[in-house]
Amino acid sequence: MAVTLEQVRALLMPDEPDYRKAARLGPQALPHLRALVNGPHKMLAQKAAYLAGLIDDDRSADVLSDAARSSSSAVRVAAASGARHLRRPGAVAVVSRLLNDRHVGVRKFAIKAAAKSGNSVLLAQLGRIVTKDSSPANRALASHTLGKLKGGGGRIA
Amino acid sequence: MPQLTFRPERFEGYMEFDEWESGPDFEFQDEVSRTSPDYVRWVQQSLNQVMGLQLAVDGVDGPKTRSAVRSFQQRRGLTVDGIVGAVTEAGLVAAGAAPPPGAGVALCTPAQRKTPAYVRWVQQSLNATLPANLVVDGIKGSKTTAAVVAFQKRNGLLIDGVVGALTEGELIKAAGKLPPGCGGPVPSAKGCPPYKSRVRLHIKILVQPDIPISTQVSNMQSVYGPAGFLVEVASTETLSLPDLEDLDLTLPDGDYCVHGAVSAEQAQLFNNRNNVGHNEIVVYFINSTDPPLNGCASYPAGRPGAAVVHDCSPWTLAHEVGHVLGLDHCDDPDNSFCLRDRLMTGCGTGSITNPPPDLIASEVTAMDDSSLTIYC
Repeated sequence: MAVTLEQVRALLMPDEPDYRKAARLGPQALPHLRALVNGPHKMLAQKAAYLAGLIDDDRSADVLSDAARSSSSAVRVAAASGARHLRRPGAVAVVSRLLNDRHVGVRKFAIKAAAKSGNSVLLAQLGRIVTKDSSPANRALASHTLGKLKGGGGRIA
Repeated sequence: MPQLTFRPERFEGYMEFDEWESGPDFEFQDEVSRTSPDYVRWVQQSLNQVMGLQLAVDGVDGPKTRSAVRSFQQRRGLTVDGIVGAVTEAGLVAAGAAPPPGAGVALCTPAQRKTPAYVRWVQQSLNATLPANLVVDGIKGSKTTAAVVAFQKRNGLLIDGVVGALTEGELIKAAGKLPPGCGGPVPSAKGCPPYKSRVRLHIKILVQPDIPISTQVSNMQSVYGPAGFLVEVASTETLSLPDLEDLDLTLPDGDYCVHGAVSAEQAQLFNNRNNVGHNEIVVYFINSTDPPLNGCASYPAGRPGAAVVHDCSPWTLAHEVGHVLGLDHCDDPDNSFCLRDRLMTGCGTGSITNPPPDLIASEVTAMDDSSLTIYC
């Protein structure tokens, strides 16, 4: 049965959505999520971006890519946190872009996404963050992440 | 066992006791001298702490101290006479002051401590301070006794499972509410008419929200006020914590925003409690959360509060504080069962249809029972 925009909205409108249940909508929800990411409602756009990552489909990266270009830092944060759950090649470009974001919180979640992907390009970017990020907390997070991966704690894709 | 003698004490117009006797459930021994310099110093320190004053702590009961006592009494709905008796003393402790030197803050007689209303107060206070999860039924059964024992153990009291004066005093201090009907303010005197009690908010701003905080507070007042709760903004502070503006709510098991559990970043954020008194609520305005929520009302033990994000709805603040006060969602979006005229809708306060949204009677009762709705 086709997923409607209204179904998607109903699951994302709650102040505290249940994302696990919402993810059961599956890939059919992705066109609607992309519309919400590009729509005027910034809270729904954040929730849509995150859910797209959780659905974990090849087309999810398109939704996250749009979210990563949003003028709203909160939507870009959601793109980074959504990318943390997306185990598809398309996630790398999204995370790579977000690691260079001007907003400290976006970079924080992009670091976490990069750590989870273990991708060598992203890890090289993390190496630069260790020395160059303006946020001491992000530098420490990147350093900790790399240390953990070198110790064998991460998944290298 | 020491014999207790307690001088006749006028409880600020509510009742008089000619004598309190020690008994099996009364472990308070020391007579309170409310005129000693040490005691007056405690009063001055307490007033400075709970009212933000700068009284000289000199042990002299002068006109400035009496004036400050009158202000405190007025604020709490007590008899305004400038004299610190047992009720004002308990009120100071309930407002967050340390116990007075060499004394408990006993209000109730042994007979009064046996009433169901008193036992309900004990159960509510234990639930607010321990992970006790007691049924608030006014019956002192084995679970209540065990919780009293745990509380006494934690507070270095005589461990006997019986609530006497010292345990009562510690419960007042810990839970911030006076026991009912023991010379403390009667319900009609508790409030600040037309309100029954109040909710004190401390606003901590990391990021200014899209909908102004003043609008969100005003919206909250429009819901809480008719239900009998005065909403006060006790303080506002801007925090420069860029690393916490986008808050990771993820718990080690992957869950998020669960009652009684907080992430490392939530714990870090909720450490910021300048100016916050006992049983007062802190609201942190942040940019966003991971995962994205309008707000989250899970908080570390003993640090009640919520986080509200930049793009929240006009009613999110009121909704999240409702959770902090113990309210659950009243409907279920998964089953398309939505009560969009209610504050505690789980279908999204952004889709509320007939503002201001409602609180129903059972929700108001639950809020009344919360230790976070406090005396005026």
